[in-house]
Amino acid sequence: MATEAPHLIQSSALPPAQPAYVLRGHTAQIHSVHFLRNNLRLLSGDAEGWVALWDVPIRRPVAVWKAHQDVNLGVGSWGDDKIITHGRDSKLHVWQLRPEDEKDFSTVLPVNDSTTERKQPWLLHSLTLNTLNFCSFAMCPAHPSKTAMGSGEAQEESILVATPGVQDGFINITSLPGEVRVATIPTLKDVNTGMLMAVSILHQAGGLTAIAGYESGHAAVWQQNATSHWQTVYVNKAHSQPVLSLDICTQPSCFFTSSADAVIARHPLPGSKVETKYVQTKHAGQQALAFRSDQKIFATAGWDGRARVYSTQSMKQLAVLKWHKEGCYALAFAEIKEDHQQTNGSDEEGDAMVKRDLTVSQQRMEKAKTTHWLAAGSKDGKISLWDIY
Amino acid sequence: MEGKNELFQRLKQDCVALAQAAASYKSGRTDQKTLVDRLEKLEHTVTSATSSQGNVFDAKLAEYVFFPIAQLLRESKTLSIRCLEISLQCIATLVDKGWKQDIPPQLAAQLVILCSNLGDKSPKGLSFSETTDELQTSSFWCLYHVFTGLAKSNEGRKTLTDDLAFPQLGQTISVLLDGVQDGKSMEPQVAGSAALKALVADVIDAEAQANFLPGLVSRLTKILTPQTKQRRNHKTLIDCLGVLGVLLKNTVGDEKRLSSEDSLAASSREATVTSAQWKDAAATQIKPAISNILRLKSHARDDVKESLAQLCTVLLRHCRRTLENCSELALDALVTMASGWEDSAITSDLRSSLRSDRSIVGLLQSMLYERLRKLALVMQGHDEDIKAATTSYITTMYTLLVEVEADMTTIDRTLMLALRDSAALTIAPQSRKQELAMPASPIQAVGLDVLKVQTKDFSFASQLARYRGQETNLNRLDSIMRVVAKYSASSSLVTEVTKDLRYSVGNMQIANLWLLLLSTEVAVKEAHAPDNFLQFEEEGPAAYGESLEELYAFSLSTLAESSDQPQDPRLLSLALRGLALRAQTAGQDFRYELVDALYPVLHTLATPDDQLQRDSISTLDAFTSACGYASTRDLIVENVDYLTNAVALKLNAFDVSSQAPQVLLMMVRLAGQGLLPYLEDTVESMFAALEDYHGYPLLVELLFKVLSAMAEEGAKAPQLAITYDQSKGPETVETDGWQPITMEGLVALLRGDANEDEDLPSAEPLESHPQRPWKVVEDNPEDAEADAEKEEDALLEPHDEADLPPPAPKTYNLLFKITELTQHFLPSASPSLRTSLLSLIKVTVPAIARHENSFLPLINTLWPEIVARLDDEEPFAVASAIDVIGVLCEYAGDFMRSRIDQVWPRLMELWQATTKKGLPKQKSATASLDIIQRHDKPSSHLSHSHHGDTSSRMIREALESTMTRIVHFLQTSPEMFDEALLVLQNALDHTNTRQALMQSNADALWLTDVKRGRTDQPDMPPVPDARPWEFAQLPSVASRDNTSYRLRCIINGDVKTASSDKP
Repeated sequence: MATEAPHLIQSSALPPAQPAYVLRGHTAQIHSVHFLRNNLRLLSGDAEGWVALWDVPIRRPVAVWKAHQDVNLGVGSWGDDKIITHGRDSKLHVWQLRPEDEKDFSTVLPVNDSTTERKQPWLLHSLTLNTLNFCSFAMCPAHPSKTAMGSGEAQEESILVATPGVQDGFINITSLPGEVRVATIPTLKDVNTGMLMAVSILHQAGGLTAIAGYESGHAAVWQQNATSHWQTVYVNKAHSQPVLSLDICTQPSCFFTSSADAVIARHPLPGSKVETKYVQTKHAGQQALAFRSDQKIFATAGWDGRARVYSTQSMKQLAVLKWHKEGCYALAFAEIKEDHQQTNGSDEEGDAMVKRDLTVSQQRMEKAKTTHWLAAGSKDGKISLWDIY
Repeated sequence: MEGKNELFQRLKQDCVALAQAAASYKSGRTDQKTLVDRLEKLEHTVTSATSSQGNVFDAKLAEYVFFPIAQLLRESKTLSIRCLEISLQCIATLVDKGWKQDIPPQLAAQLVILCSNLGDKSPKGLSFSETTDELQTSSFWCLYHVFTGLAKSNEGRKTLTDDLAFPQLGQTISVLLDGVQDGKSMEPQVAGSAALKALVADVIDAEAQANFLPGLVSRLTKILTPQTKQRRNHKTLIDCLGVLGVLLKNTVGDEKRLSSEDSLAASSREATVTSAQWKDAAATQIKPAISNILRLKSHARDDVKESLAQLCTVLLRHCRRTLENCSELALDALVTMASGWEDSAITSDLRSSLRSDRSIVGLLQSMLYERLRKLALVMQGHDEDIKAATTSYITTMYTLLVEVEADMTTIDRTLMLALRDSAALTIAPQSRKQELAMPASPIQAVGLDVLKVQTKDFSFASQLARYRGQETNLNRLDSIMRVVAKYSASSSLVTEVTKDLRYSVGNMQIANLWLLLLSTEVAVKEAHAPDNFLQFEEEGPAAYGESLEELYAFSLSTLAESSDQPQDPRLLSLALRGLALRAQTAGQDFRYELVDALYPVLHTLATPDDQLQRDSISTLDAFTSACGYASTRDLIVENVDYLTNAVALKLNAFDVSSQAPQVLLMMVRLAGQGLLPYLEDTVESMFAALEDYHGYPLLVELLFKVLSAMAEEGAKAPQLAITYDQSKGPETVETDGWQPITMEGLVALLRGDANEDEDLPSAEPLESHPQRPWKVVEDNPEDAEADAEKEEDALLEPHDEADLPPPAPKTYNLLFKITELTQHFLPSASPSLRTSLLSLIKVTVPAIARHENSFLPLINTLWPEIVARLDDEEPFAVASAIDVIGVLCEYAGDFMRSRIDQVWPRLMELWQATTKKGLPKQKSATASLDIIQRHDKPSSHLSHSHHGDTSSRMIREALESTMTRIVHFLQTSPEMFDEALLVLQNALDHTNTRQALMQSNADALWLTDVKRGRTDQPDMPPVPDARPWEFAQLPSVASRDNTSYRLRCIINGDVKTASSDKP
């Protein structure tokens, strides 16, 4: 921790970072943001249940509708045309919104009119959940082999969705599109974990692994044993306050948790040699934590209105993104195209050649796709877009 | 045959006559006069015969005619000049028409000798010592015809060039040259040059030419070198140039060497004469000659130029190796001539020369290179002619090189550098004074009307020129650039500039950008020209894409840059043009770029520089039409989200230049209240700015201008407007009004309560704190206790209402915050800011009054500041403050009562001050003395009286409208009402005022009307008998001045008498 101070001074010597753009339009707190379709779209959900799909290149909404009657806990995408929203109205919806359908939707933002009902996309699935807490859903492909093919594959692949269960601390895993309950993971036996606060699922070593963060500050990793029973393979209480967010890093194989306290914790995944490590950030209340797709950096959204970027390796703070005057609740990184990053430096001429053939809008789209966006949604109803690292 | 005989007969007659005359002359019997006559006759006959029957006239007839002439010429020693002259004319005709190519060599030789002698300046063996022009002319023409005749047969040519005739040949040439060079008039020069050409070009062989070369060249040079004292006839020049061309081609030409090797058998003399060594020697001598001759390139006549061009072409094509040192001169002359003369034979000749010999291309390239290196120097000079010449010279060279597909890489590079340097030097300020001419930047509002000027041609003025000289220079550079860009959209040209663009500074950067812009403009134009579509198809439609992209990127970053130092407006202007160009090229697609491109343009629009403003508007127009918006207004309104973001980021970054607020102001005005919900954080930033920069009155004022614009627009918001209607409007308040002044009420009061507490009516309004008993007065006017009970209901009521509508919209919060903020700035030093703040409050109050929970505390906060404004130095601030008080009364109703009570005396003082303006200053000062002292502003009364009528009227009007509101919306004590009546006495005709007064106290109004004679005096009702009182007398119309006092007396007296009467 002692090394962090000079680093801070260093970074503050630079002019303070400014957001590239601020998306205004929600009146209520932004609770979730998510990039989809090669970063061309940004999905945002607010505390009143409104969901907006933003065109990132031109920074304007393409579809706005009220997905839930209550707080929007999480948003996600399934393929290019399906949008998942999870609300506190005990619903998890899967909407179909194909690119070609976008033109049919209202683009009037809640800030202009928050009462009129808008046209909703086609509802493919609607799961009724027991949602009394703040835990958002988590998803992963149903079959581990397909993970390698990337999320952009057009084929109808099935997914698994993890949601909080009926009882406190339980996790339900449901497969879609079958809507079949795949598993129910109980809570920790010896500890009073309180509510489930954050969950994540992934395929690891041929089996499904679930990671849970609890109200008590515990983080646990669950795996199925030979008898198909779920058991914990890792339990750690890193936080004195409820876990608020967790995200998985595959290289090295670990996961990070953030909480209402000021600690960011790194935990190993099964089979990993990574050691558990805590970082005291001194900024209590880190509502969201997310890794960039290249997993070199991660960021937190804090109640102090700042988003902070950290190095995955050293867990040191790299940048403070201050714009919002109120707390930040949601955070998302744009997906980074690895190949493009490598060629970026060496092949500028080729770039120019390609560029020349594009129209203005195509260029803009290309730029939006390749920009290293970070989107931070705040209590003030605004989403700031940052172009960093 | 018939004709020939006839001709012969005619000639015979004359010939015989001449022969006789000649014979008798010989013997001395005839004088020269006869000879001349006869000769003239013969000459005439011959001339007419040859002209009419030229085909008939043949060698034999010529011989026949020649005979007597020859006879005569034998006596040439004594013959007169005239005689000789006519003879020669005759002979010339004979040779020309008779012998033609069949002229006997012997005769020809003799004639050459004769004519050479006669053409000499001082002929030998004659009766006279000096020749005349006419004689010279005749002999030269004669020679010309002889040579022309001889040239057509080999034998004839040999006659003159064989060894024996050689000396004579030299003599002849010398004579001819003398004649041409020194001839006193034009004729001998023309004739001589013609003869010389015939001789040198057609008669003598290369060998002879080589022999005479040195002499010929030096003499011809003298002839051809332009001189101021002597202007030579163009024919002479053309012929001499021709001679020189032939000479050079045949003697020192490159082919000559080859051909001489072919004929090894040729004479040994030739081999020695035209050896390589000889040629080298010749070359060194010829060069200066050529350079002199080439001065003819600026000759006025085209035919002379053409001849010179032919000579140059000879030098280039045939003497490229031998006279290598002359190639550059020749090329230079050719280019110069071609540059002034488009589509001429010269150009096409030159082009084919270049095509046939790549080494010339190389030469041209290096010449252009040299020229370009000197371009900047030339452009700095003051000789406009040279500048013009250089410009066209360079473009011609460039065009030629491109046309022959030369490698332009190096040239392009040099060219760009040269153009850039020249441009940079040109635009550099010439003196310190010009440098300081940059305008200071006062903050001034950019009116919306700038947007109304719709120009469809997006014309940009010349951005760089600040004075005339620069403009012409730039136009020259521009013309070069346009030519260059037309041919070379190649990246090599552009990369040079773009490479430099980002790293250069100052004028150099401007020059770079200018070049990039120009070249891109031309390239775009070319690519879109209809006839060029096919041509460009293979390259793809975006041959200019790269440079356009570069231009756009740089322009954007330049405009978006927010550095502390103001940027050069010229650079910004060019950048704007860059954006416009990109927009025009992209068309509708440009809408996608507006997220980045729109704000910077508005930003520059808000700068104080006129030129920049105009350019910004042009750019906006270009955007508008490119993106297909109907108007600039639409452009802004539809992209206001982008602008909001940009402005917010600017403000957030504490960039406190005036532009961002200006743009915001424009946006708010254009887009209206729909924009306000998006401005929340922007307003916060503005508040932060206000806090940090309150020491900058101009900025603060501007920010508040924006805020009040927001307030005005926000007040129009439908959410607020609707709720305003629903809320307790004037109607509700009216019924709440104070209504005890009905007769019944008065009677009840007199009979019931008055005896219990006499002071009640007067004490109550003065002492009470915000209470709301008025609501219930209507229900139960007599019950004072009920008032207190109902008060709670009254207080609860707004709560209920506030809960009913949806939570206050964002706009409401915005307006509220803005209004709240004004308290800190109301004591500002700037009178205009104070006034604008007060009017801002006036605007926002109706909108925020809806939510009483927050509105009433706000009044509490603002009140002291508003009241303090009543003592403002500026009458209009005072008037505004009075207005604000009125508005507050209207919307806050009786909440204001105690406050009005407190401020009432001051209001009355103000009113008195306005009415007493005619009185001496002293008095008005004492009237408000206590207040003046209290507020420690001794100067206030002075400024009041200074402003005279206008300010008094302003305040009076404000007072009248406010009094009306007070009376209308508040319950007033009778005393106050009386005073209000007094204030309003001149406004009683206004419907509003009257209505308000009527509702409050119709009786008092009636009384006033009576007193002012507006209503007839009523008849006094009879007093019942033996009552110890009587009705008070109504005041007479005459005593209007004392209305107030009387009125009060009457009412008070009335009450008193009534109560005294009671027991």
